Amino acid sequence: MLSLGPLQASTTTTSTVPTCPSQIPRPRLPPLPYIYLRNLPYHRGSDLQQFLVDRQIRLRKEREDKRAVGADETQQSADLSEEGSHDLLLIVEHTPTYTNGRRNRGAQAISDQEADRLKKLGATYVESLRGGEITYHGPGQLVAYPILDLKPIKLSVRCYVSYLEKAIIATCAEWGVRAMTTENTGVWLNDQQKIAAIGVHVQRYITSHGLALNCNTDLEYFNQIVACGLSGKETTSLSKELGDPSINVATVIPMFVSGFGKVFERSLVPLEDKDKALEQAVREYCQTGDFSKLKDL
Amino acid sequence: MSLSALSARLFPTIRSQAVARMAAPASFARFYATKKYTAEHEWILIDNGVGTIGITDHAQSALGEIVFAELAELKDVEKGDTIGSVESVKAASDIYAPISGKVIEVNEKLNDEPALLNDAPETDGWLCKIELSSEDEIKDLLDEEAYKQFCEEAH
Repeated sequence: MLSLGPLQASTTTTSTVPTCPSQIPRPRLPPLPYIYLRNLPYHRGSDLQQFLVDRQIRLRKEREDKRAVGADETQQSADLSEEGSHDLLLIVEHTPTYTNGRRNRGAQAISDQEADRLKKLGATYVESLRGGEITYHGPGQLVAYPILDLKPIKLSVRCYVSYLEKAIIATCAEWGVRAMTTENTGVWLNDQQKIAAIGVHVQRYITSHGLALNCNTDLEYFNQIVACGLSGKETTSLSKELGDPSINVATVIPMFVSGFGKVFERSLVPLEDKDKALEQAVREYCQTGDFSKLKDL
Repeated sequence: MSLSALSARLFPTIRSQAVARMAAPASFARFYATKKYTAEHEWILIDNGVGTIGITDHAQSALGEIVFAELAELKDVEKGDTIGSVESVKAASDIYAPISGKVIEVNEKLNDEPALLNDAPETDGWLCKIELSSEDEIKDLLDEEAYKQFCEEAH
């Protein structure tokens, strides 16, 4: 129920928004594996995420069912320690793609001529299931897709997005770049310049899609669109801000992994160290588009 | 419809009994609407074989300011199917059918006023109506007490 004080009753804000916890309400989950995938076509990345989300939902259901039939206490605590153990962080560099958000799909989408114009720039155009509006992904941009179960960490969707912003700000800080949040979701250097965009999809508490941080992205691609539906704003990158052309996704990943781990209070490990078979199956899928190895796991 | 559903909840003994007697004198229709919940933070108000569906107050507060509602299509759905989504803070959260049946109406008002989902999630901000194909599934849903407990454990 909305509870407005008598003096606030006529203001424009509709409800008092509860603040997000300053720390993850339930940290100490198993280490979070990550994998870096380069040159990934956007649609393939989307299919991979959907596969991983469905897998997480299935495995969680199996755990819950097992618990419900009344396993003994040692079994139950073993099951609890499995929570979050199928989380995965995909770090991706896409081939050039313009993507639109969920609300701009189908009838609300851009015109055929506009899609053609974007394709002529050498990019594909894809309608995505994430939140947010049109944006660009391509080489030089660190795209992170955390496939996380929000249930065990007890984080609301709103606070999850705020934690993603914090992780980006922590990454920028490691480069000595001061970044911030504004009233517009995403991470900004000031009111005008945006350095990272956010667009998330949540299915039964499992997150997919995520964030896009510009390391040394070709920013000209952003000038061709009204990114995220906000006109008069500008997109920038770490490389541009620091005047250092040697910055790229590979050099930013260690800082991002550290920033993400700090904010989500989790240690991050390369997927190949945790689950070699899954790592190979994911890589093979990305190369060939063939799910068969993944399905066997 | 949502208003009459609401008043049925407020005056279960007086008004809807009278309505039920007038409207369906020959049937053994339930005398008052039943409100149930799901673990996905949806509510469903079942009245005369039709379930009105929405997101709970707890859900709207966890989502933040809702800027867009993707409404269900008018078609047959199975329990658990995705029936649209709501978008807040750049995050699209899927909505699931709490029950099988046929989507017979959607709340078109949400196209222009998605904020109704924040301001009145359990009344004017309803999402859609499903004509139930199996009343059997109702027993799998949570009652108010169980849902409250679920929320306390989850957050």
